[in-house]
Amino acid sequence: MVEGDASPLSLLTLLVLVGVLAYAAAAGSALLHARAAGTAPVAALAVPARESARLLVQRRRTVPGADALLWRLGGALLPVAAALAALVVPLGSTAVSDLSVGVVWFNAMEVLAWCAVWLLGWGANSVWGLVGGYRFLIQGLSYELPHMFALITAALGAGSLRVGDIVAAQEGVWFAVLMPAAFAVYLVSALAMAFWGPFDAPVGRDLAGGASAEPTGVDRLVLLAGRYMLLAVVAAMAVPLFLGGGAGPILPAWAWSLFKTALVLGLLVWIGHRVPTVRMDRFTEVGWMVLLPLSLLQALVVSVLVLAR
Amino acid sequence: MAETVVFVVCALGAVASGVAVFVVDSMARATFALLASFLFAAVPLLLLGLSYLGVLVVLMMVMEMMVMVVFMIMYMMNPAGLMPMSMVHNKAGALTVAAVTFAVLAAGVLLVPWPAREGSPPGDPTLQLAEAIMGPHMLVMMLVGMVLFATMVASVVLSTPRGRYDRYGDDLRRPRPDDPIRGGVGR
Amino acid sequence: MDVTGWLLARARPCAFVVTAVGGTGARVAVERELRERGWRQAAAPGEADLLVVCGPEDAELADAVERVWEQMPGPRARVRVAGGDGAAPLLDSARGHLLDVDRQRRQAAERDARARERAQRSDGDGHGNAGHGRDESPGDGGAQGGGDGKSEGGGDDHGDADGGHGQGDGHGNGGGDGAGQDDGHGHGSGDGDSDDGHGHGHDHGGMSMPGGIPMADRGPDRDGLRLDRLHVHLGPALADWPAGLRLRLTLQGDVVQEAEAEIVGGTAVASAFWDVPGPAADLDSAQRFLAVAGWSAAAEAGRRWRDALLAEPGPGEPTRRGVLRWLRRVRRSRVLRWSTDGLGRIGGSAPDPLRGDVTDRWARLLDGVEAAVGAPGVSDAAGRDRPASDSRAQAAEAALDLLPSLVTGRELAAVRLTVASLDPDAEALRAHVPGRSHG
Repeated sequence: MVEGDASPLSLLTLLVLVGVLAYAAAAGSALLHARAAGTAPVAALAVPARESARLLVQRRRTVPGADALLWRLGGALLPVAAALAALVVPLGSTAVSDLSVGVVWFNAMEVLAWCAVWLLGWGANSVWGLVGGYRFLIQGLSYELPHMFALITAALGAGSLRVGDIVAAQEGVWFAVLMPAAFAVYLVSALAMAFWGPFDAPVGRDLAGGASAEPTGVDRLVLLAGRYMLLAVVAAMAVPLFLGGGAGPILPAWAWSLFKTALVLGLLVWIGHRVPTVRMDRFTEVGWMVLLPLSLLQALVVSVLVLAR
Repeated sequence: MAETVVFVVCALGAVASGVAVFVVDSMARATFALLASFLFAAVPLLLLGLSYLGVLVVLMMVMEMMVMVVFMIMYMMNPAGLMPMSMVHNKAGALTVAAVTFAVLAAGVLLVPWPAREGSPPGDPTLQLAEAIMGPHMLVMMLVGMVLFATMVASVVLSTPRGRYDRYGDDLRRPRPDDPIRGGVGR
Repeated sequence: MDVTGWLLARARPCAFVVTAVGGTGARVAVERELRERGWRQAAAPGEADLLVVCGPEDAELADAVERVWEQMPGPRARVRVAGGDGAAPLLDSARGHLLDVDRQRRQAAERDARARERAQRSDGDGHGNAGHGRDESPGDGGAQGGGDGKSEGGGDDHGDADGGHGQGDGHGNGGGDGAGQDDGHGHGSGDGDSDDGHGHGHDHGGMSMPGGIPMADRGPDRDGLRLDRLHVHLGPALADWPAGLRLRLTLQGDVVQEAEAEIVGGTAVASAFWDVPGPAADLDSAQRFLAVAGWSAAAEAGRRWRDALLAEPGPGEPTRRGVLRWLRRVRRSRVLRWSTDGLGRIGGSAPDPLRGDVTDRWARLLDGVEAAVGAPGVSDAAGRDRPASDSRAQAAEAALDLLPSLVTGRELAAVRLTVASLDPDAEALRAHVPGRSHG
């Protein structure tokens, strides 16, 4: 994991990879859905492409009283946030930019999703959107602190905020083993961050789509793409933080990174289909009374370990 | 050169979006104009090599403004909030204060004889900065942090109309609290 | 090469299904078709390109259907499926309309022209936007002025309020704090109770509001604050919502302050679809509940087994096993139980199917299904003691009476779960209690 032993990952490669993973997540989701519906699962592989085709020809909509500027900004912000967060995620041993504060950068960029979803909901001038946007904020306030402590715990274990150093620190034992609670909290918050799976209340069907109820056509395509990209990126970040990055036998490091990312992403998509939506008035208490103390305790244990080492 | 361009763009952007806060006529737009101003202000920190502080400003400002959004707009249910409303009060006074403050700060920038750099910048400027600011006062700083935190908790407790006697009964013996909305931990 | 046509031909249609009272049979058939073709069911009109109206023509529902239609961005097509038979060819022909690029272009141009015309007209009458919303509000108690403003493609007219999916409107009726309705008190943060506030600074009366949408009024909330209120209608055209039900809500945030329930349309309905004995009725309610609870995979599987049970009244072994596996999976979900425990509790003299909380009710639905398909050969016997539509009518009537008190003080997610767990069958109600005052 020495820095500079390979040329940095090009931005284009990164975006293509994130795009492919996002498509795979969407296709996997469609596949699980087709299986539940009892229809041919193979056809599901083309579903994201067909949905994109539909949204490309759909007309954009204007809503009276909408704050069009903020509304469109919200939709566009989501894929941008995902792409920016991806900059520090290493593929094998190289990242587009292995910042010295990579973990904080990642955190700052994914928090932009808060803005994105709220703007989407608010700007559309619709009750559903508004309620959806606020649901995402309360969700954010419930998952963000435990999430930050999970990130900090991984950084603490390595003694560095640089993602490359965190990977290097896991040469002996993966952080998923060393700090299982932090890993679990990270996975929960990953779902919540991408408002996926049990945490999809902000775009829930009970709100007629919530924050995503009003965007149509290209706006909707960008929103959906951004959401899957965000899911892919948070899944990819779990690999360097907790799963040893590109470490593994035989295969090259980048292949291991991709393989592990695909596994985590598959797990997240599968959980999303296995668990009903968690209501925020129930989850908020769990976030603050269970996850937060848990992640704090985990951080304490890891600090003691680091000091004793 | 590139740094200068970035700095100028961000400086102008910060001022422009700062002005926008008072020009726009919607709460939501004002909030996000303010956020944009803060984000522009974070970039010069990055240019100074204080990457931790710069990124932290981005992170904290985004979260802070989103919490602001909750409080600023919570009381208004008109979605899109385009009910036009002025963002300024006491126009003359505010303008005077702002202009004077700006003049004082700008004069400070231009008039203070800044020292020339001696030696090379340290490897970790964030650490150096932190030690320079609070090195000998770390204990005080931590205490202040605790006091601030305690104040926040206390003010929330005091402002909550329902106390533990409402929730657990006069003798605090109720097994489950009597809450209007049940929480998620089964209490 | 015509890229639009090429893309359209590859697009997977997405249908918004509206069910009239008396259209359950048609809905079940349509849902089956959609599922087998892999077409998606939209949660909101905005994402749909097919509008499928199930059931007989209904003057009361027509208004809501029209609004949904106006909210669909296009390319779009609509179709009415009157009965259970012939859903497939109707959907095929609707798809045909959808693929007819020339026709879609022509219609879009017409819509745009109409929208421009309307915009010019409202510009003419002085107050720029007062035309919107005011002129078009269908005038039932001012309850649909706007706040919701759903509109559609290219800026056509603004199909607002209740039909589509519960829009707010916020008619300014004073708010009771002396602010009066027409002084535009800055979004409720202005005068009155909130100190020096941001109230000043807008010098116009209540007329020039964005999109011509009247402002929200204010009222006390459960925490002792005074907050803006929105008037929102849920239903009757709402995804995963009981046919014909309309809930008129007054919301603060997403918390319900006041509620009223009524049945829209269906006055001519003489028979109920769920007179069919067997577990399919319970399964249908359960799948809808699961969709509302955000478990789309389980809901989809529920629809699959519902269709299978309707197709073969004495279910074969594979169907039985599938249903039982599905039941086990849903029952085992601790998250679902945790999420619904303690919601919408009904006690006392209510009919049996309504008692308990939301969890009790969905568990009872699943028990009903299990009792009917559990052991081979007993399905006919079990079918007879399922509530026939007479008792379904009684349950629906009781549910309608209880609904307002159950949802008041709850937030929208709880409201949706409560309604889905009660699932009042308006068809049975219309068929058996013709003198019903609701609606």
